[in-house]
Amino acid sequence: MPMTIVKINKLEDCFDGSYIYKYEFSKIVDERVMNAIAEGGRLQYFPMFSKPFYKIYTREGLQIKGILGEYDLEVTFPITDQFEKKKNFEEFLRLLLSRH
Amino acid sequence: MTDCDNKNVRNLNLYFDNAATSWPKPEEVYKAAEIQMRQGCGNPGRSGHTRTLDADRLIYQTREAIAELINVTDPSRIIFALNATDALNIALKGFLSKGDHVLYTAMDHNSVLRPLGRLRRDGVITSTLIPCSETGFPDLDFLEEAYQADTRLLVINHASNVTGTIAPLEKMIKSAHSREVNILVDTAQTAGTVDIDAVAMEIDMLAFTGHKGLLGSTGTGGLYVRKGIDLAPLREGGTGSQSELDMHPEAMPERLEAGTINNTGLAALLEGLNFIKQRGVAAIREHEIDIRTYLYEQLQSIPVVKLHGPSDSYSASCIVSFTINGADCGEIGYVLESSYGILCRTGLHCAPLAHKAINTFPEGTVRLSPGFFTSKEDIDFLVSALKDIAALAES
Repeated sequence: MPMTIVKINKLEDCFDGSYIYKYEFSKIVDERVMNAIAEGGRLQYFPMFSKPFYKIYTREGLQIKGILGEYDLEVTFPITDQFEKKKNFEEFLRLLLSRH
Repeated sequence: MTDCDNKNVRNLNLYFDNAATSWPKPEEVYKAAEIQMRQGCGNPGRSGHTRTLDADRLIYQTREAIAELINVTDPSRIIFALNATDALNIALKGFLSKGDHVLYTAMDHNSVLRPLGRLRRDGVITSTLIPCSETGFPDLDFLEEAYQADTRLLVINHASNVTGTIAPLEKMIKSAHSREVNILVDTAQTAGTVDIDAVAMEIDMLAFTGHKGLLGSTGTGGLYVRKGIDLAPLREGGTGSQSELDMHPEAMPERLEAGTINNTGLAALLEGLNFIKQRGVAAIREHEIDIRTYLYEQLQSIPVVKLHGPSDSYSASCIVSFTINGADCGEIGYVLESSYGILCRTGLHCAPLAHKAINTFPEGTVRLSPGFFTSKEDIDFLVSALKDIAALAES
C-alpha cells in the first residue's frame, strides 16, 4: 500500500497573513520521504534532539517542519499565491507519496 | 492519590503552562467534580429538595472560602463568573459610565484591553495607558501625572501573564485612593499563590479565576466588590429569588449573578481552595519562588537564551519568559512538545502591549510557567532540552 494523505487540518492564521496546515499520513515520515520533500529546497535536520526534528524551506517559499518517525508534518504557506501554492504542494506530495 | 502519584501522572507530559491553567490538580479536585456531576446535580435556589439545598450550601461554602482567602468578612460581596475575563467585563462595564476616565497599564491582558477598547470606541470612556519598564514594572512617576479630574478607575494587573512581574500594588492603590480614584485588581496570575488581603490593601474590586492558582476547573472565576461600590448588572435573568418581579434582584450577590451557577466547577474550586488552605498561601509562594529562581538561574546558563522580566523571583509570579535570538518562538514550542514532551505557551499571550513594553512584539516569547507540582528534576530536564534546542539559533 502506498503512503497517502489521510487528513489535512488548518491549524492557524498567522499574524503575518500566512496559514499553517497540518498533514497526516497513512505511514510515518521517514528519512527517504523527508529527503524527497526537501529536494530542490533547503533541509535543516536535527538528529540530536530527543526525537529528530527537521525543517524544510522549499523554493516556493513554503516552510515545512516535523518530527522524523511521526505520521504528520506542518506546512506554513506564505501570503502570496497561498491557495495555488497549497494546491501545487498537495499534488507534488501525492505524487511523491505514491512512490513510497 | 498522593503528591507522589500526582507526579507519575504529570510525567505523561512535562507541564510548564500553569499560567494558562494549572495542572495537575489535587486529587480531591477531580473527585469533587465527578461526585458533583454524579450525585449532586441540583439547581441551586430553584427548588426546596435535598439536591438543590446541597447545591446552595456548596455555593455558599465556596463563596466563604474565597472570602476567607482574601480576608473579606462578608461573602455576599463575592460573585461568581465564568472566569477572570468575565469578572473583569462585569466590573468594567458595570462600574464605568459616560465621561469616565480610566488608567490602565501596558501589562494588562486583553481581558482588560478589549473591554476598555469597546467602551472607548462607543464613546463611553477616555483612558490613559501607564507605560511599563522592560521588566514590566509600571512607571509610577507617569501614573502620578496621569490623573485627571474625571479619572474614576485605575486597573492594575497584579502579576503579568507574560513576565510574571508583580505590580507595586500598595503604592498604586495609595496613589489612586489619595485622589478618590477606585481600584480594580486583576489577580488571574496571583490568586492562591500570592497573599492578598483585600480589606487591608483597600482593594475596591478584585477579579479572580478558579482554574489557575486556585487549582479548580475552567469555567469558574469571580469578582470581589467592596461594600459601597454598586455595579450595574451585565446580565439579568433567573436567580431563583423574587421570581414574581420583572426586575433583577438588587441584593448582592444575586445582583451580579444570573442563570444557573456552575456548581460542578465550584465543587472542584472548593477543593482547590481547601488544598490551598491546608498548605498555606505562604508555603505555596515560597515553593514557587524557589522553583522560579532555580529555573531562571538554569536558563541563564544557556548563552543564546535571552530572559525577559524580573531576575528577582520575589518580584514575580511563577513565570519566566525567554527568547532565543534567531529562533522562532513557535518553533521552540513545537520542538519542546513534539520532541521532548514539554508543554509551554509561545507567542503574544493575549497581552500585546506587554510585549511592546518588553520589546518582544510582534514575535512574542516562549513562556514557561511551572506550578506547585513542578520539581527541580522537571526543570533539569527542560533545561537540558533547551540546551539541545539552542542549536536552532545556530542553524
